[in-house]
Amino acid sequence: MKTSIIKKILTPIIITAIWLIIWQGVYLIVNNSLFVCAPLDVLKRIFILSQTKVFWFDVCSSVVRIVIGFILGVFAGLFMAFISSINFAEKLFSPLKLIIRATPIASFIMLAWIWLDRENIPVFVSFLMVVPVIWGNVSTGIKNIGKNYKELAKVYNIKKSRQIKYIYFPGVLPYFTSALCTCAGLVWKAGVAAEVLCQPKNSIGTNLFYAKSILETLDVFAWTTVIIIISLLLEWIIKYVLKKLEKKFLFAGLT
Amino acid sequence: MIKIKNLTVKFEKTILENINIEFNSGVYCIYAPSGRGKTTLLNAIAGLIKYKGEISVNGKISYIFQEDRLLNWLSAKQNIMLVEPDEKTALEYMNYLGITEFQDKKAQELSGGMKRRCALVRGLSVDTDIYLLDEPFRALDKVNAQKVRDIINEMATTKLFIIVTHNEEDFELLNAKKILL
Repeated sequence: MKTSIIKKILTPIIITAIWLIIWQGVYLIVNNSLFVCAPLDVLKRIFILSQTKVFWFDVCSSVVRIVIGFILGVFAGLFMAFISSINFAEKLFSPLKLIIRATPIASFIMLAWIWLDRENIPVFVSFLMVVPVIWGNVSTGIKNIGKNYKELAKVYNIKKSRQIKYIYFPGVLPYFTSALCTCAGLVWKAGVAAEVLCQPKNSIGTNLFYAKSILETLDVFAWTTVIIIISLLLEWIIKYVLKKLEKKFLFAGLT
Repeated sequence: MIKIKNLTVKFEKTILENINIEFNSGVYCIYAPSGRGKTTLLNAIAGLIKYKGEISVNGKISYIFQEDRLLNWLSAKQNIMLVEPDEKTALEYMNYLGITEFQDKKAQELSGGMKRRCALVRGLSVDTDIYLLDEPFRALDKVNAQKVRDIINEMATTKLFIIVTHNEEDFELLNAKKILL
């Protein structure tokens, strides 16, 4: 028991330490802080930045924009996946899914720049990143429920509500969870890219752009590390919430 | 209880052609070599496939499929309770067939025989008039197969059982009427 806890805590610490050492090694080899900064310097810079109110305001503004896009994208993706479970609707909307997937994110950012206020562009871009992933994965989950279980439900006259709760929901959940985790990473890449290009007021991307403009590499590293931390945090929150939801709702009342 | 008139089922080729059978209460065993449409006949009776002809069913149907069709993410007991069977009967059969010991294990953790027993209890504990059983004794050991036969024989006085089997011994053991396709 104790060994497993030690392993659980020690393993990620050791792995993180190995990568920090590699980073430090690269820093020493390059020996030019204009190109690569030392990990300790980056941590110090994050600490200094985090002591200002502006830092937290910028981080929160970016988080709010991207999370709004993320949540809207999840609902739209789910809606499209359920609509697409109807054969005709799937054929009708599949070109739309293909177009969203194939269009470069930069094109969407440019178009959004024409259509929208710059403050809303990261929301729109995050939304577009999430929709096709959720749509595609959940659609696959619904299809994979399979004819066998549909026949079982028909023969035993299982009520629609029970079918959704015990057959469809748990069957689709792994696909939905994996899509959410993929999106948690993608949404930050796309959202911050949109911020860098459009520079809305108070955003991580705008700070990143200014840091690059004045060749403040340490700030670029610091803001990038902040993005990675927030992205991992979002992924962790998603997994935690889904686990709790699964325990609470999934199989209650079927004993 | 079931009247079949001029039943014909075609997919890419003709599976069943001009079948006429009448089933009343009791046990019927359908016997035919592989690929002659035994499962197709049960599927047609259960209304799961398209066919030509007439099938009139007087009563509700419970169908124990050839594959167990258990939901991997549910436990053995949850799989049984999913179809809202008669709870008292379900618990009695679970106990009789030894499912109670592993009732909380997820279906994906069960052996072939355990899964088959769950599928049988699920189907047999539903209070209906007609039971369709596709190779019910597959993956069962002799003791459990006999227990299932005992359940069927006890219920068959008032209910209809249509059983697809490969084993000729089952006709005698179940005291069944034999139907050749």
